[in-house]
Amino acid sequence: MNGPEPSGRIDLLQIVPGLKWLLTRRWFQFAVVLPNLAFFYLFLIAGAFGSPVGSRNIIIIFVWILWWFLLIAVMVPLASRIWCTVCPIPFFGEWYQRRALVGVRVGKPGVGRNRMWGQNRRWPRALSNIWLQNFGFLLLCTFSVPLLTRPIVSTIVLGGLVLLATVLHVIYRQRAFCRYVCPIGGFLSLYSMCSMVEVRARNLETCDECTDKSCLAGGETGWGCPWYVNPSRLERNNYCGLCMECLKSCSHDNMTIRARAFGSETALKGYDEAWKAFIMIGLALAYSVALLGPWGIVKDWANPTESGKWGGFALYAVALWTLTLAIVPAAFYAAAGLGRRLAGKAGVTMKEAFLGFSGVLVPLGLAAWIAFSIPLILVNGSYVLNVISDPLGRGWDLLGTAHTPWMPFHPEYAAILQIAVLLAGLFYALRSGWRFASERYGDRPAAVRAVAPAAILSTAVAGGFLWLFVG
Amino acid sequence: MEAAATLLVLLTLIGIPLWVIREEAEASRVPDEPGLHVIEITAVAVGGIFTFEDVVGHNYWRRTPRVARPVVRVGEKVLFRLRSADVIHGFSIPELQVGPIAIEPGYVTEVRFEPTEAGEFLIQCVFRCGGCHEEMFAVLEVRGPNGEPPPEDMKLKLPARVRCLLNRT
Repeated sequence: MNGPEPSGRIDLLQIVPGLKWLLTRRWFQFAVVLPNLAFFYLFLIAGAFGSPVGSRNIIIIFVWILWWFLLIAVMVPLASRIWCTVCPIPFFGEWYQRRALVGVRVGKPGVGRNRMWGQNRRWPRALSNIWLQNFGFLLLCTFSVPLLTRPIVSTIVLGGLVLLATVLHVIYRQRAFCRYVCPIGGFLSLYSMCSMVEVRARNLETCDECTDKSCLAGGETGWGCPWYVNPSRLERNNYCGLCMECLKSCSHDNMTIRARAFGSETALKGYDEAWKAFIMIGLALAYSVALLGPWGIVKDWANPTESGKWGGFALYAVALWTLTLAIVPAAFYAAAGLGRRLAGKAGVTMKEAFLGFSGVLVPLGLAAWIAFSIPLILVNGSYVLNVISDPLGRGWDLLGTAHTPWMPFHPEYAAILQIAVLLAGLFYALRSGWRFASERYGDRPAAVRAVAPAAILSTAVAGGFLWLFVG
Repeated sequence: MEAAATLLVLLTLIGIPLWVIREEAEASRVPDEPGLHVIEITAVAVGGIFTFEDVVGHNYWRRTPRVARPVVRVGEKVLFRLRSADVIHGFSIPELQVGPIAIEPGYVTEVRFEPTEAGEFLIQCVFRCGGCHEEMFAVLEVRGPNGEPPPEDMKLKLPARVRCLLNRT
């Protein structure tokens, strides 16, 4: 039944003993979400009833330092949207929809063959994109300093996301929140394209001949894809939440998880995805200036609730939104347009060129975020020892490490690691641009001329980050 | 399987707050000494305040806590259990030679003493803790052995607050 593996892919379900058995257990997702839910719940409690001091509260240290680093530097590059597999935010909403934590229900009323509760409305077509996620994330990031330093703000925002997710699950079918609203899901969708794993159909012919389409419509062994994607036709990682339902529901055992090379896909499909890439690189730049840079005044502007400089904050917010929504897109639009003109070939529309060359920001943006996060974890990582022993910062000492002195972990290597990561990101960015140009422009000289402006711009962006980090 | 999963979720939702309450009670346990008067005080930089109130995430930014006015008796064994809600504060009662001692966030700092004379004594922060440091005072009232109020000439009038008014509710 299985055809040959596509080039550069390894079927993990065939080579990792026990993996298929594990992932096709109905209890698998519940088993990985529950511990996460417990920690998440503790974090919310700690934010409300624990110390207001960020470095002494587990919600700040675990969520914004440890989780963030693991998410952006480990989970996304290696395992795509594995966070969505274990994310507790939609837990209650999905429980309400399914009235089941482990099992599957079939029958009506429902979606496909699965019986589901709630209003099961269709998500509005006009919002079926990631613009809400783009603006939601940008809005959160505008207030990032209070969010990242004040436990109660984190509790309100994260608790608010749970509430919002639950309400949307009651109204709309399946995971509308995760797919279209979750501000974290937006950038996970973008950067998961670089990831080294993918869920795909083994053999497309089997899918063509399949009549029950249980991966999409559900069945007695699994829920239909809650992410509104057709698993049998998956070509990109963006909107696959790795819930593993298609592995369970496929009646032909035709779905699998493959390992692949980093940066295997970077093709952006719409302006919403392109703007996500612009927002993410712009934010990485702005954070590097505000949080890691030597300009105290910018840091004060970004943190108005402490500094009281609301005028400066207005300036910071306007600059942030202008940079991410207008300046960076304009620069890439100009680069794409110039490249198109230099190539001198008809047949590639401006939109194609713009989206194609904006794809270079997928690996470069991911690298910039990893590089930005490296000093945060090296310098502040030791706080994990404090808060794991005293999660609320109230003087407990569960593990005997509550009073471990703050000790940065080899911060002298931060710059080397940042340089390595950024250069790797630039390599993959240039390769992405080159691949697009080669595919669309055919002959080599035209492709070189087409990619040159975007390549120069990407190199300048990487150089700017290098200057900020180690200059 | 479904019932077991539901039970596990309910246990998580109920068990974690109960565990937090238990651990908090454990951390707040005081020595079992007869006659020991334990006073819990939290130092807060916003407003420059020593307070009896529990200052935590949900109320720190919302309102100014009330200023503490501890009352003890001459000859009584007193244990101050001190916390900081934000930064490193100092704690000192200079006239009774209590402190100075640092109060760090995440720690419970204990100070013992036994007052020997009635009166009202100044409690002050001795480490620069923020914009309200200069006004971070409180009064310790030491009554007589039988609870009689301190003599009039030993009463203390705190300087009026100028920078950090206690007007947040």
